[in-house]
Amino acid sequence: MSEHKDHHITPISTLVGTFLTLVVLMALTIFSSKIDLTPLGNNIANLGIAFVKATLVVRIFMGLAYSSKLAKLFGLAGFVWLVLMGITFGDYATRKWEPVHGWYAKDGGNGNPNDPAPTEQMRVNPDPNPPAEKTEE
Amino acid sequence: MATTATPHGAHHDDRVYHQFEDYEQQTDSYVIGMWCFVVQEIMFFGALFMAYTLYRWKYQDDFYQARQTLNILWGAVNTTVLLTSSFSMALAVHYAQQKKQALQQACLFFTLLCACAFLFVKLYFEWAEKFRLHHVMGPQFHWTGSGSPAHIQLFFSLYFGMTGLHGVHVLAGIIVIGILMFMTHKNYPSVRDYIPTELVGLYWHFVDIVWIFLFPLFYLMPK
Amino acid sequence: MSTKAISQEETSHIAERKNYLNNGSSISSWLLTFDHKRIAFMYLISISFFFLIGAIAAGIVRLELVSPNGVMLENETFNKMFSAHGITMVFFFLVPSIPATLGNFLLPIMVGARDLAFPRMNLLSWYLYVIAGILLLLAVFMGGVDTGWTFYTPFSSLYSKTQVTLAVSAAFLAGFSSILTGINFIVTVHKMRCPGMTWDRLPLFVWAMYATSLIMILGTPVVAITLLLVAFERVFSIGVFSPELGGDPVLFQHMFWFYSHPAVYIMVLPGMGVISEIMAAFSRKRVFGYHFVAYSSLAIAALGFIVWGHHMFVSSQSMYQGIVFSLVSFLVAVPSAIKVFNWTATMYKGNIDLSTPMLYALGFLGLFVIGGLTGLYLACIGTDVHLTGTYFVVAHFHFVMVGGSVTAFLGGLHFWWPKMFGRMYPEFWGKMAALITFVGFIVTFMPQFILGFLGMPRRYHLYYFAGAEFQPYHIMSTAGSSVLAVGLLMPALYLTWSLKYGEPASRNPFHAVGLEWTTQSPPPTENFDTPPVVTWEAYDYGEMEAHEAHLDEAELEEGGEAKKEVEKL
Repeated sequence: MSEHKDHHITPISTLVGTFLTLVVLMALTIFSSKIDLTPLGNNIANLGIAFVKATLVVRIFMGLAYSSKLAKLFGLAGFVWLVLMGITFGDYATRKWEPVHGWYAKDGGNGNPNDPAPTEQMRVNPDPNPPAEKTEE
Repeated sequence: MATTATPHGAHHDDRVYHQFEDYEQQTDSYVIGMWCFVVQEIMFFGALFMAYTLYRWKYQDDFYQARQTLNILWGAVNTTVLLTSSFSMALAVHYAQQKKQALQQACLFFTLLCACAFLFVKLYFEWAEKFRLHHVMGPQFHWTGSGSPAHIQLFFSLYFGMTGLHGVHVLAGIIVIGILMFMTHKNYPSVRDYIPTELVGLYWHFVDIVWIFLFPLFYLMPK
Repeated sequence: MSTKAISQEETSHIAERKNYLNNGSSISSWLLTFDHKRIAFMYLISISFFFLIGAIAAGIVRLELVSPNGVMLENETFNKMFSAHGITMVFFFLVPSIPATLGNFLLPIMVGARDLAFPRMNLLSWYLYVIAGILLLLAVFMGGVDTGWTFYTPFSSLYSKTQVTLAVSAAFLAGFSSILTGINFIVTVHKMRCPGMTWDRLPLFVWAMYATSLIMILGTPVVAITLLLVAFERVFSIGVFSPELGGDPVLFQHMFWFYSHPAVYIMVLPGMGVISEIMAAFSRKRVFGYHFVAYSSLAIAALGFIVWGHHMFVSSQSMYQGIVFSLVSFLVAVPSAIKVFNWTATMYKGNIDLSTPMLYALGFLGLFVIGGLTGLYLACIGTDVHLTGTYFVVAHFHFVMVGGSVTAFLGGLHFWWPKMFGRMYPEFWGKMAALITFVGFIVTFMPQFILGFLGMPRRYHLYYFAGAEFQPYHIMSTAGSSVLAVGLLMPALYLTWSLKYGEPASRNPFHAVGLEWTTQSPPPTENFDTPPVVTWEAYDYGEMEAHEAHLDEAELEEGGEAKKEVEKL
């Protein structure tokens, strides 16, 4: 059994190159934030550049590019938290969606087929001075 | 047949702890163990990033108002400092692998200095100003600009919470690097090979990555 | 069939043999040990202590509920009682129970290693747990918490005047204890399997521990930061969940349940692993559908991460998101059902031995199925609106956690007790305890389903608004709890008794297949005299006789040598 498997030693030139790239990217992100690319554009630029920087650090500084497949798999596990974020956002994003028509009783319990729209049915304490009804009661 | 502590037969590598069979198994185990820890830390900070993103989405304008009070220059300085420390940490690992102890210690020391500089800038220049301007949450909070004070206070809660937690991790890193340097200096057997340095490096790079995301999200927030 | 006990002659030299228990007897050899077996023993003592605390709190709660107007407690104190019960039982008993005791002890032996990957980190885990426990006790003695174990904001972060910061710090540290255990297990299973131990030959207990560890590593940090934020809010006014600042208390619930739902799988998956082992051993048959059971553990872990919203159907969470959560909650029942079917098929045409561990396993089968099925009522949003926050939920989770996890824990404890301590427990008392626990449990928790359906809310101290209707069920439940208490106390007593006075156990008293049964009882510190090389499939009960004969021969040889050594002295 070999005592010492050749562990990859990243050459200094690679490290220096990566470092300089990171600094340049940082400058780029500051520069891009001063330009108005629409908020969405700025956000994408910021996060995109940050993502590239993080990838460089992970692959080269942390050595994941030269590590075993198992280590790479574990590195991928770092993205699991996006599940938390995605689904929670699903909640907040869909809270204001209108309830689906037809899910509530057609009449408000009054036996009137020409009832108000469902959202109005959900009011617990009806307005004592309701606006003019659409139909005769 | 002996029943107790003598380890398995054949060669017994001094660097290998008793539960491992050989050096390669040991190093691989340590590296993926450290990755497990880093993944766990990602989940830890990730939840905070989620909370931040949610509130920023809801209160974009107020958050932008608050963000104006953050000094991009100091943020950029800190980012550069931290990137440099990451570079010197990677160099330290490089020299550790080549068994060049003096250079390794020098790089570790430089990393330590950068980390301390980071904390200094953060605490003395940035946070102190916040305290002076009464931007810190709590009974002292007082906001004179435009935007809802409640939401501004939420921004600062997140700001202090996240940069504070990051700062605690930087401090922990400083302590760990210090201990590593001390043990290397005294030639403790457990730091004889490069693996402890590599593990500390993995932690330190993670701390750097968190800041790589914190910087644009807080300091460079668009309108 | 050879007997479980052994001859007088063999007794003497087994007692002489060096094993992990007698390898050093000073306090520091225990408190500073790196041996996973000793650490498992220390965990066993600690979690039993916290189980006692939680059980006492539960007893007080049940006593209090006998009368619609309460018996002896103030409202505040009642709140503190059920909170203490929840926090202690969830964070300090159920989450560590099987992983930290049976897992710690057995995992290295089952994969054929000398220890876990990181023995020192294992010890650190235990110390973190102990420190967390001290913090919790401090919180309890300094007034307790009244927020419930779920610490919902803004009550816990803004308005509660109790020891919330201490309690969440305790839970935070206990969480890190379990994270470190998880890291240890994952690396051990990946890297330290002995030659011949492929993934397909791993015992299903190991697969279950692996899935559990995945959840521990990925889920626990989220609750750690959530609880930390609650503490920050109380201490530093960092108001992330505060409605006054525009924060959303429901965000706390999202973040909290993101861990706490997978946490229940942390509690039940190890139990399922134990049941797989017991089913195979006491049906003398390999587990039916090995790969299905193995992969279902992973499926439960994965699906368990995306169902947390089913705790929040009525929390103002979006209805559409609720539908998604509801659907996936139905899906997550499928892998559990797969396991139940496979265990049943394992028993079919097996040679069933109704010993104590098997009684616990059979109890698990029935009780877990009831618990799981009632979970489906709660996964369905329509019925959940009626049942949420009632005793139906309480009954459901007690069925799966007590009827499931605790039963499995006791079954595993009995199954591996001879291996761990070299002593047999008294079989008669074991069977008695299993039956008494089963009966007591059903009488305690079945009425609670009815109570919940009738509308009795959970965490309520007084129920005078429906006293006549609810009281009979509450009385039945309390009566059952006293029987359950007896059933749970009995193993504590006779197992401790057996440590000194139990019959010495042989290497393989239950004639089971597994690497842990090839080494002596109790194992030596290094686990194996010679590192094992595995050439047989998991649960290879067909080939067992030949293999056992070979091992018995080796043992007799060894016994002869040891005897000579003893005679030399």
